[in-house]
Amino acid sequence: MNREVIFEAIKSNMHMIIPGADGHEILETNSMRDFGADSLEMVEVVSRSMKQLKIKVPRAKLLPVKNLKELVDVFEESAPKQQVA
Amino acid sequence: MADQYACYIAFAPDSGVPTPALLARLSSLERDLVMHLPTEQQRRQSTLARLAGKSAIERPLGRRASRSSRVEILKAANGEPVALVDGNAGVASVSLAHSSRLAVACAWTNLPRNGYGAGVDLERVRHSEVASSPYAFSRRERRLISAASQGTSWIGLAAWTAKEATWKAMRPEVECGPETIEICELDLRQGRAALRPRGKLVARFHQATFRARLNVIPGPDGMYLLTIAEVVSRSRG
Repeated sequence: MNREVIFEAIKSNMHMIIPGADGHEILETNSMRDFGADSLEMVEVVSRSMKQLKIKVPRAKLLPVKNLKELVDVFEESAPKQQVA
Repeated sequence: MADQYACYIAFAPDSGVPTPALLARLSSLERDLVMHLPTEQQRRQSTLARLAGKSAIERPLGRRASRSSRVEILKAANGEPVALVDGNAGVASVSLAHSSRLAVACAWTNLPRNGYGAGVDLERVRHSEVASSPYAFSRRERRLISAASQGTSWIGLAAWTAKEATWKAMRPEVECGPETIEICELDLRQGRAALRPRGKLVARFHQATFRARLNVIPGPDGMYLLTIAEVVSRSRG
């Protein structure tokens, strides 16, 4: 799974869940707080993205995450590696 | 509600007063903090939360609302609210929360209750999938939530407010997240939640008493779930 797929899933869930993100461009340097997300909305974006991408991330790894780039990094580390033929 | 707690609680509903008029009730330092927030909604909610905080702090101090400019709520480096009374930190502490069109604060004076901490959290009742989130809740907590009879959306939101209010009460000494506290009992009808620390925090809060009360309250745009959590820890003093 590559970073683009992960970031697209996160962005799509942000647009759906965070009212302040709707219609705005989202960059990896942004944090969810930049769009007015509260703690519950952030949890819902992370949870829904994990479910959609079928990945499991240890909860302790998510605590220090400060922006979307770091979130994508953590998701990428936890994603199943692509099978190479 | 205040009689049930050792802290003082105040609300600030969003009644449609224009933002500049709300901002005029803050000090210049508070306004600077608020104006740095990126969205209008955050600026408005943060202003309302500070106004609720000022009211909550004035109660134990016996101050009249007309002197509210003497109470300021600034922000520590770790993001925690810091209450200044006549410019002095350490007289009172405050916890703030806001959701949609309601803000709430709880405050307590520091001197008589060394080792006491309180936290508040608030969520407007809405559809939410948080109850099934493996990030927000452990497997055991999710089982507890799904066994509750109040509907998973409501009980999930209530459980989330219980956790967030409790970790606010445990701060500023510890970095908290969803995995650092576990809900072991949750009853929205009785308004009761029992929580305990997990992992490294077990030893630290070994002798602490945790108490969380859940409330369903009306707000300007619907019902809200409110949790006030209190932690009394001998080790904090």
